[in-house]
This record gives sequence, structure tokens and C-alpha cells, in this order.
Amino acid sequence: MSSSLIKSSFNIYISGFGCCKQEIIASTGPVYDISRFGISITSYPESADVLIVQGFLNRKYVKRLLEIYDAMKNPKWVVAYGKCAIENAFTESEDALINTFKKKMDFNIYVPGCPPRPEAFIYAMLRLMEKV
Amino acid sequence: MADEELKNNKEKHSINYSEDIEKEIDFLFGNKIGAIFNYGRDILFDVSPENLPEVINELKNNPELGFDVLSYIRHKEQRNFILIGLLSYSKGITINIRVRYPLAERKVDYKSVIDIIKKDYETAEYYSDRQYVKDACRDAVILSQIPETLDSFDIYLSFEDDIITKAYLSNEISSFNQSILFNISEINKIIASINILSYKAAIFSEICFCMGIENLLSLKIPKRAVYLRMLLCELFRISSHLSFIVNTSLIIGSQNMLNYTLTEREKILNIIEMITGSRIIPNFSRIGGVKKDIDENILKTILKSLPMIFKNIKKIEDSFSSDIVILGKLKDIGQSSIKDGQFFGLTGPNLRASGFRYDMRKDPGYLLYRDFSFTIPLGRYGDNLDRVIIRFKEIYQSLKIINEIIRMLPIGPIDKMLDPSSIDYEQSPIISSIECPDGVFKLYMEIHPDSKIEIIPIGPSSNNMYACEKTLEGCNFNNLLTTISSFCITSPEMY
Repeated sequence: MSSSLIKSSFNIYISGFGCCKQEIIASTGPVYDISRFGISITSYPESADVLIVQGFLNRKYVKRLLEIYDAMKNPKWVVAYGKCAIENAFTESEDALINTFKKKMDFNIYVPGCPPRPEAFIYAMLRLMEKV
Repeated sequence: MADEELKNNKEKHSINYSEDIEKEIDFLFGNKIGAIFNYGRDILFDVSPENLPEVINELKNNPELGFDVLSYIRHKEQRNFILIGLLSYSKGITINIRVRYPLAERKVDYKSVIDIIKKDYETAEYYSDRQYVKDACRDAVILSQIPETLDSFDIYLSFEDDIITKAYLSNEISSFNQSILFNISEINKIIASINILSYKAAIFSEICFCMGIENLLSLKIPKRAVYLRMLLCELFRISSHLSFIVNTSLIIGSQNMLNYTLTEREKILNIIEMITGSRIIPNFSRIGGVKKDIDENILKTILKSLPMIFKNIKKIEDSFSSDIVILGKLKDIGQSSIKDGQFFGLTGPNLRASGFRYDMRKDPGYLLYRDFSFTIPLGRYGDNLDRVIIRFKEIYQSLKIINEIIRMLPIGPIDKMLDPSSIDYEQSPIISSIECPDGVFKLYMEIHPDSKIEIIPIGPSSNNMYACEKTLEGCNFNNLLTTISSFCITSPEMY
């Protein structure tokens, strides 16, 4: 097992919508092929290990995101991907809900960029794997 | 010489045409409307709430005007006006009505305006708060999904056996608060952040914005800059269509198609990156031109790669249209007729898939598309397959246009060397429109005295969403996701 390239496999759940998602989808293609590192996309929060927070978030979506996060089983990790998610570009910063969201979700990795390249996503996921 | 004369005549004719309508409106309504702003194929004027019923009725029922399609209704809570768009497909002209309430009132009576419009345009109902439809469609609720074309709305359904009787798409989760972004923006800074309004093909909102401001300033931009803008537009059109095919393949479950299409999309994104420096968000267009010039070597590289891209995409299309499994999931499903499309004010490939020719690039024409020969592909049945195949055909036309642009690219300056912050802008409303990959995209802009700008995006996605709801009625539950994804509904445009 120690000689294996894959230390542990990750199921990722991509939340939201926006330009960052295009780059994450691109990383699953043959050119970047993120699946060679044991990373695959899942549609069910229950089977997800990593939650990718990206795109434009409004109040209703933040509520849903918290539900998705609660539905995920432990241990779980959260990645903030792109400028919108990191800087709250499209949310009101003084909003109480956003503060709850930030407190509750312990972000493990921040991936800056608008949008970050697929290489940045792969690098972030590999760093997360190292941490784990 | 003769060709040039013909072109000039055509231009004059189209300008005269919108001027005729402007005069007609002025004659008919006289003091009931405010000043008329004519932006080519977009006419904008103010109407008070009291005069609105009469104006709407006349525009709909006067045979000489004949604006029989409700294109959009937009309302912004912080502002004291409502925007209404009425479209005439035969004339290709949109009338934009701004219903302005007195500043003292502040609160806009949105519901009563909808009731007024509903008397003449049935589709106005779709723009109202349709809580009763949402309550009625409770047999199944499907929350937003991961594929891009299903990620920005929730689906509410009611059934009889496995046939959908009523569908309601709710975009509550995707209507983000744009006022935070735009109330702080100055004109020269806004281009960097405006591109998210059509994030699948980000260059279109940039160019639409720049065209609007250039129209206001009566700027004529250098020919090389226009050609570079068109080059980027077509590259992004291909990228957006390929992204659509990727999502369709993802939903159908065709891993082969997904991988082949993603590979070709990467090639297009690489070309875009070579030109602009960025793959998705170009930040390339500027008021009066473009950010940077294109290298001769890059042009040669693009020219070399075009035949291979064409060949590979053709292979993907052949597989798409010959695979029995894919055909079974797309063919004769989710049919939308020309009448249905026009009823909801559809534009772009979703309307053309039904067989109706309507493309802003050809008629009335913007930028310099009239310099190039290309055809507008049309579908026949308006089903899911037609909506996919038409995008393949549009990709071929875009490749053809790119080829011509590179061969005919003129030498000269690329910018007017303007400093947007030092210009005194006229305080008038601006409407600018562009043919983006999914239909006609408009921007309504108001410049404030401190050179801050307020923007209301008017995209094709809300029309697509309403047309999709109608198409879903009578559809089998198995075909739900493929039908919705074929309409290509994106979030920020819906506003």
C-alpha cells in the first residue's frame, strides 16, 4: 500500500454554479484526468468526503450548503474554490447567515483565482490528500 | 463598388426602419411617453403607470407596430422602475418600456404592472410570483444537480402515472444580489467584473457593455479591434457550445462523448488563453478597442489547428447522430414548435432548432459580421436532438468565420487610447444587445453623475426556462433531465 500512488481516494461534491465549475469539470477530462489520483465526483452528499464551495452564493443557497454539509459523513473536508467563495464577492458580508456559515464550515484549503486553473484544483486536492 | 453601395443602402434601410417606428410611436402616444432613445434595433422610452395600459394595448394591437411577443420584464427592488421588453420577430426590433414611479413613492407596484401586461400578453403570468403553481407541483421536488445545465434551479413536478402534467422551475437559489457588485463600480473598473453575467461565454457581456458605452459616445472603433472582438466571440461561442455538449453527454451517461468533447474544448480554451491570457474570464475588451494585439505566430497556430478541430468535432457529431442509445434518449423528445418558441420570446439556437431563422449577427448585424459569409443553421423538429445538433452546426460556421477573420485581419491600431474615467458621460439610459451562444443578451445601463454605473442584465435564460416548463408538460419522467439540459439555462442572466 505504501508503494501505491493513491494514498486514499476522495469523493468530491461540487456545490453551486459559476465559472469555477467549468474548470473543475475540465479537470475530470482526459487532458487533466483527476481520476488518476483517486478523485471522483459524486452527486450524493452522504457519500462525499470533500465539499467544494464555489460560485455565487445567495442566502437561500447558503442555507442549502449548510444542509449539504450536515448530510456529509465524518470525516469531511471543505475547499473554498475561487474568488467568489473566498471573498464573499456576491454576498453581504454583514449578513448573520454568512457568519454562521463561515464559523460552522472549517475551510481546509483555499484555492485563489478567478477562476483557478484545473492544475490549481488538482494541486489543492493533492495537498489535501497529504494533510489527511 | 457596387457591393459597398449595396451594403450602405442596407444599413440606411435598417436605420430608417427603426426611425420610422420611433416616429410612429411619437405620433401615436405624444405626451404620454417620455423622451425616446433609439439604439438601432432597441428603442427605449419612459411611460408613467397611468398611461401603461393604453401604450401596451396599442403596441400589441396596432397592425403597423405589431409587437406581439413579451420578451422580458425586469424589476429591481432598490430602484423605482420596471423594465418591459416587447419584441417583433418580423421587424427584429425590441421596444423597451421603462415604467417609472415618482421618487417619493419609492415602492414599485410590480403586481399591478404584471396585471396590466397580462391583459395583452399571456406570458406576463410567468414573471409574477407563481407561488400557487409551486404549491400545485408537489408530487416530486428535485433540487439543483451537479451538471452545469441543471445547477441553478429546483424542479417542482406534478404527475399522472409517469407523465408530467405540470412543471415549475424555481431559480430562487441562483438570483444573487448584484447591487453589491454594481453600486460600487466605476465605469473603467466594471469590465473586470461584468463577465460573470454570462460566465459560459464571458466575452459577450464585456463586448455588450463596451458597445453600449461606445454607442453613447458615438465612437467608431478601429477595424482591427472589431475583428479581434469577433474572433474572440466565435471562439467563446464554440467553447460554450462544447460545454453544452459535455453536459448533455454527462446527463445521457455517454463517457466517450464527454471525453472527446472535453479534449476539443481544451484546444479552444488554449487558443483563447494564447490570445487573452485567461481561459474562462478574458477581460479583453475595452471601451474604444481591445486590451492587446494578437501576434502573427498565434494567428498561424490558430489557422493550423482549425482543420483538426473541425475534423474531430465532426467525428463527435457523427457519433452523436448515429449512436442508437443517444438517439433513443434525445430524438422526438421535448419538441417545441416555432409558435411555442415565439410565444415565450425565445432567441438563439433554441428557437432556430424549431426552424425559425432569427440571428442578430445576420440581421440587423452588429460588429462587422456582414463582411463574412456564413449561414444560419436551422433545425426541423425542435426536439432535444435538434437543439444539440444545431449547436454542432453553429460550431462549424464559427470555425469558418474564424478562418475568414484571420485571413482578412486588417493592420492598424487596436484601441482609441481613451481614459474612460476622464470622459463626461451623458446621463441617459443605454440599451445594448448582442447574440450570445444561447440567444440575445441585453444590458440596460444607467450612468450616475459620479461615473458609477448601474446595470440590469437581460439574458435569454428566463425565456428558455419558461419555454422549458411548457415543453415538459406531457413529457415522460425519464426524459426530464435531458429535456431541461437541452434548453441550456444559466443562472446569472436570469437575475
